[in-house]
Amino acid sequence: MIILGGRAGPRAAGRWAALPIAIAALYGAWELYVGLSGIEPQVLPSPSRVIREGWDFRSDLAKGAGFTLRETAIGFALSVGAATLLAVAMDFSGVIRRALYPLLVGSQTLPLIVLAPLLIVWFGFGLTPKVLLVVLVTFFPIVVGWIDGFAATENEASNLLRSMGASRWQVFRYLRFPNALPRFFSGLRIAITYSVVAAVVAEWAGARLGEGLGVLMIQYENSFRTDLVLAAVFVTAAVSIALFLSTYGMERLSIPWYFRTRRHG
Amino acid sequence: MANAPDTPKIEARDLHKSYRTADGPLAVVRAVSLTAAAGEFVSIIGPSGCGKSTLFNILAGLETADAGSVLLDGEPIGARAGAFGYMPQKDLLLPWRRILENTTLGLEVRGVPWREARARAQQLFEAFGLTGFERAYPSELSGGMRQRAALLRTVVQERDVVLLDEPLGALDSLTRTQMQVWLEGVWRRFRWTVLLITHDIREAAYLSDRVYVLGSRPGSVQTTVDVDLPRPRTVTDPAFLAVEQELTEALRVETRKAERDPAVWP
Repeated sequence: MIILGGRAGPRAAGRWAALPIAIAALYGAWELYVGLSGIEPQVLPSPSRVIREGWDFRSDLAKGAGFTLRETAIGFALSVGAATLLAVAMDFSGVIRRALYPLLVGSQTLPLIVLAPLLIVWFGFGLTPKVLLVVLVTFFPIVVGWIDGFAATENEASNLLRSMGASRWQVFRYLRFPNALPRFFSGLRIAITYSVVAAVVAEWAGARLGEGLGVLMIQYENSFRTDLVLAAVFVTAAVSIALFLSTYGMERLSIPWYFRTRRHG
Repeated sequence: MANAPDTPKIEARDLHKSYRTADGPLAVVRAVSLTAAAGEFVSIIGPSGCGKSTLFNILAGLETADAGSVLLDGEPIGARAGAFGYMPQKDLLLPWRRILENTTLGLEVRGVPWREARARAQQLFEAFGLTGFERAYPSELSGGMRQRAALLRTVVQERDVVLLDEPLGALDSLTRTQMQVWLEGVWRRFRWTVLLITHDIREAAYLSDRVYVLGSRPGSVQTTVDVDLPRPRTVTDPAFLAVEQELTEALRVETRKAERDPAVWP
């Protein structure tokens, strides 16, 4: 775990200080540039202005974020469920695997920026096209995580279970499935990072006014409020990062043995 | 029981196995016959690649023999898995299960209720020196303890025959010697019927009632050495050293044969 891997003690404090210092430096440079160059706020607002205006519009942004988060959550839940079912089916049946895997890879080559407006045309301005786009974007890394995890099962361990008289399903249940969980979480982490952006792109392609961060960005852009566009961008990033970090919590709760094993080497 | 009292617990009769390769069939096991009476400790040693593991896979039901039969109490068992408790060289303890849950795995697979499975495994923890580690995870145990847990997982299934495939092969030599002494003691207490594969001549001499020396590929039994010494054995005893010497000699002949004929094996 790279992000949260910290050691206790004074050295840990030094490691944690690096990020705030980097952020402060970027903030300072940006603020300084805007102040010295006299650039128009419609072109590039100062970060303090982005924060101030974002705070004034916090209720709009929060409402938009609520819509985005809901679309993301529904899409992601559907995606995890469907990806898991498919991965299990693919693990049990070579025919299903050979039929579906190329299609799954193909699905990842669709350009989202083109697909998003099409989904709006087909499914309207409501929830459905957003959820579909989230599913489409997050599905693949989760399936791959499962499949790689299943494939990483030691042959000798399967043989041991078979020597105990285990059925195929029992080998799956006792061995392949728990063994795949760490890789599933890796896939989940990649998927969740993209999920919010997928919802935002779908909103950006079309949504009712105010219903999502993506459509707010369009509205602010149309009224030349670059500061609020950036505020919405930062909220999107914050939500993505929060979801990303939450997967570590889920992982620690679901597979505590994995971290224990790694610690003991 | 209808069987005569001298019917062996387990008997392999004239087993043959070959694999298909690009250069034609490759005989791996040829005409292997061996027996173990109930409560007997029998070892199989041989040069590397003499088909020992294939032989075990056949017994464990993981592979089928081309010819020959395996008899349990005088009855053919065919190719089904389940008569044998199988312990491979790697402990293969599942890292997500605590030690107690690991040792009940075979019972769970067979559908033994969880509570009963736990109770049965728990009874053995003291004899296996694992008391107090029921709730530990495998990563928290030493190599020797992990092997003992793996053996507990094997014997708690109460199968007819215990197959040990180089169970101590991955341990350092000190732990290994300690484990041999411990294994001998626990075997005398429980008297399982054991078939052991090993590379270690001293281990075979120390533990076994009888040792089969397998020849080079294709594997077939070349020499049988009965070890008729009182237990526990003393490795410095002249009689013990004589057995060791006999096994070393038999094995050396086989290893030389294997080296002289490398063309058989790519």
